[in-house]
Amino acid sequence: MCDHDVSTHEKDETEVKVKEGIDQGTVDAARALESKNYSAGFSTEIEQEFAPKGLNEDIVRFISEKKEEPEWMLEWRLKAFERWKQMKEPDWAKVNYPKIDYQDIYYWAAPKTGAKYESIDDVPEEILETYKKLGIPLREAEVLLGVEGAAESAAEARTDKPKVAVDAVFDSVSVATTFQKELKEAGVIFMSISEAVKEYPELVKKYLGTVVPQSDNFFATLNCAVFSDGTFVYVPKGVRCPMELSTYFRMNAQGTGQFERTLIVADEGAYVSYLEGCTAPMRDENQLHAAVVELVAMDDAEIKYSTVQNWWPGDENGKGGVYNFVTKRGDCRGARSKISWTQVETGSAVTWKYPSCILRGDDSVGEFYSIAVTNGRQQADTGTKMLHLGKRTKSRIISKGISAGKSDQTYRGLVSVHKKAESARNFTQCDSLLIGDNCGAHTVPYVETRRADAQLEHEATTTKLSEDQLFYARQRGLDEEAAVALLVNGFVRDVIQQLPMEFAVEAQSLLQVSLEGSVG
Amino acid sequence: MAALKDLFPNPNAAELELAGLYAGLKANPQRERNFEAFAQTGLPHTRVEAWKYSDLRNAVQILPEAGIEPEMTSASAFASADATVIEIGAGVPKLPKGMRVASEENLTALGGAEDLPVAALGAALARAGQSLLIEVTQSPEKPVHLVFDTASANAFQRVSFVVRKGVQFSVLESHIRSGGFSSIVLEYSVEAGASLERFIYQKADTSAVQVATCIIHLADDTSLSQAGIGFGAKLARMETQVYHHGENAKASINGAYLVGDGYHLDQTSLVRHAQPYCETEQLVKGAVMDGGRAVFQGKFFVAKKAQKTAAQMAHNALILENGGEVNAKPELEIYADDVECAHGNTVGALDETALFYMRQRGIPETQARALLTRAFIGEALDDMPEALGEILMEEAGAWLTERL
Repeated sequence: MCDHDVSTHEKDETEVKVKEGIDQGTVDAARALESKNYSAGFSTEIEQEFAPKGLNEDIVRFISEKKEEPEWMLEWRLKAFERWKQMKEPDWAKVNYPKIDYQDIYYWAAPKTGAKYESIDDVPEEILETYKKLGIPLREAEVLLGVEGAAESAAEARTDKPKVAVDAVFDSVSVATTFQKELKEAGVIFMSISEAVKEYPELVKKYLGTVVPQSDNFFATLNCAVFSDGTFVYVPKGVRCPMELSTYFRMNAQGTGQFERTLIVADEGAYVSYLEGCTAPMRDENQLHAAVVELVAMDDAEIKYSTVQNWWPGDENGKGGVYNFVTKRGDCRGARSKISWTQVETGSAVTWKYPSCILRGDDSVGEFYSIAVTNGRQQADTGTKMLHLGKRTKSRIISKGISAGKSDQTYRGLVSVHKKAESARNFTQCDSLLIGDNCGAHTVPYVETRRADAQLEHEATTTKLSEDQLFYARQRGLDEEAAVALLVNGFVRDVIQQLPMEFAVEAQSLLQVSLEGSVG
Repeated sequence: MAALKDLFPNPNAAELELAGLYAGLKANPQRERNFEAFAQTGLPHTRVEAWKYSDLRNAVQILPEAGIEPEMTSASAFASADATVIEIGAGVPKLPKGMRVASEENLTALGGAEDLPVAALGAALARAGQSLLIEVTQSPEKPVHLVFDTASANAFQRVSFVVRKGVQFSVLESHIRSGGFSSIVLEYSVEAGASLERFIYQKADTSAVQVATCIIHLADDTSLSQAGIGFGAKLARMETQVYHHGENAKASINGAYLVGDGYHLDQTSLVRHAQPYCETEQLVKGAVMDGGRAVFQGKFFVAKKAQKTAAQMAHNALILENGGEVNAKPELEIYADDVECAHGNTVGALDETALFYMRQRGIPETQARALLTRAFIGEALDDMPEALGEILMEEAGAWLTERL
């Protein structure tokens, strides 16, 4: 592998000299993600309706009215808007971008034919086509036949290909939600958040803003004021959600910001696995995406949240691309609850997000698995926060970052153990890899603890996995590399293989990358 | 000096008094530049990222008045070491052969002062005689032992060494305070082929606020070996910056700490690799008791040009009792692709099995805990010359026996 000679490659301007010892597969995988290979960059020609550009109280009212929201929801938005006006855009992250003009953005864009369609047959063909092109079938019949539908052999379709229910969000509105009926039979509520506000106001009221408070941060507060749509999931006591749930976010309209809001509640003993995918067309200007995701897990509940983020990253000169400023936080409110975040990040011009876990319940568990690849002039400042409040809480952070081109990537993570968090346990591992010498990789972990019985470890090399686990895996006949891969990626692989999107393949190949030659 | 006050965004009483002290000093361009750099930040607080865990502004709300008792609750452990003592601030020091005082006028303003506001303050307020430029032209026979101001309520001192080519220079530093506020600035410019050994002893009372900043420049083929022990103060910050300006320089910057009830110790370091083929190793180990706060902030910066850098950072802490606090931020910023950098950070309790084993052998629990803790932090002092290392280990042992 190491004697591979770069000169045998076709002449390519972007060719970089790669350090010896870096797996060629890794280099190729990163290269495959260069912006010129972005396959989701088309835009859909469909008549759309916009709110006037800019942001003021009237726009907030307009959005609320469009969505036929109850009075309390409007009040809630206005309160957030008032607060937002007092706030200053934060600048501590290691990213640089021109100042955003918040008055030059459309805060509402929707396909003209109406927000929510009665049945899937009413959804305009253009939109169905869009999602089909992205590998997301919205017609349930097609879903049953598997993602690639008819192309697959009938035999495979009959077997256990898992079903996935999809909520498709197109710019500001949810256009379709599949399998609602089947889910309802199981007692699971899965719908767009605008519907939920109308149909289950008490539930929404009870949980909305309890994990990410209205005044949490600049972008979250903005989201509170103008959030357009998103997904609401409620899994009642003791129910194991019978299928994977997913939301697919698509930004289409020009000059639009997307502000979606996701709220997932798993009641006592419930289980749900949720997937999120995002793409946007290639446009020259920057688009803002400021979402808020709130997860609540009660006693013994478990939520798995997976993201494949593939927003348009901008071209190789850094023109255009999505600003991905997202607040994601899970609250392990009940005892023995568990929340795990998995993310595969390949898109966005600038990313700024830290999916976090508040480990409030005793014996609760938080996990964060991340693979981020930056290319071109992408900048990513991402990581997680694990706040240990309850007794015997555990958290695990596995983060792999790959920087290529002229990109810059930062892992920023906080592990905090509070005074009463008896016997807390954390393991953190973050590796980063540079491909070429025009990029940067940075690691900024914060560790704060006040307990003698806490055990916190932060490591930065692939070889420092638990020797015991490694030994065990090797005893079972796995070679060392396979054992390491299994231990680091085991969980991630599991989830990614379930992804109902065309880039599941892409994500999988990313997981094959080896961090041989990683810098720290 | 009304204009001076305007330099600060929202001055507190102490900052105004500091501006007053500055106004009373003889003006010169480097002093002015240093003070302006300080004024940009003022006394740093928790919203200043580099001071996130050490709230200096809160610790120094008004400047302490009059002198403090120089009588030390604890003398420096280095007092017994075989070294030439140099008291800083007590007139022109008598220097051993191979060292001479150069004109103070050759002292330049502090480089990168904006990023080191408290050091900039120290340099700005160091009066004549409190600010020294010393040239080391030959390797001194014995190590030099630097003793800083222990009697003034507010102490601002700056010592800058130029270690000439090929010279081997060994320094012991005693940072002892029984109260008041101090900012000590040290600079070592190590020329090609020279080597510097720097050993530090820090101990102060719970009323002292103490900041010591050391900036070390390493040229081609130099070596730096740094180690020491710290016990904290009301707030103590021991900051080290190492710049690899030349190729093939090797640096090891280790440290141990023991922080008891009411004490706060911040060990912050930045190592910048600007040139290829340099090595840095850092090992910091410590233990805290209930009511003690330890801060470790380490950062390795590797510039694009600094290929083949090898840099390892490790911080391991023990929290001996609940309520002891450890805040760590081991940071890497890397722009070169052919380097090996790693950082590790652990915080935990003593190994129960080791404790159990020792007790089985008839060692009482407290003694076993003291022995294990001592051995744990001792690893960070392993590279010191034996005699000096032993002095520090004895101090550590006594401290632990007294408290466990």
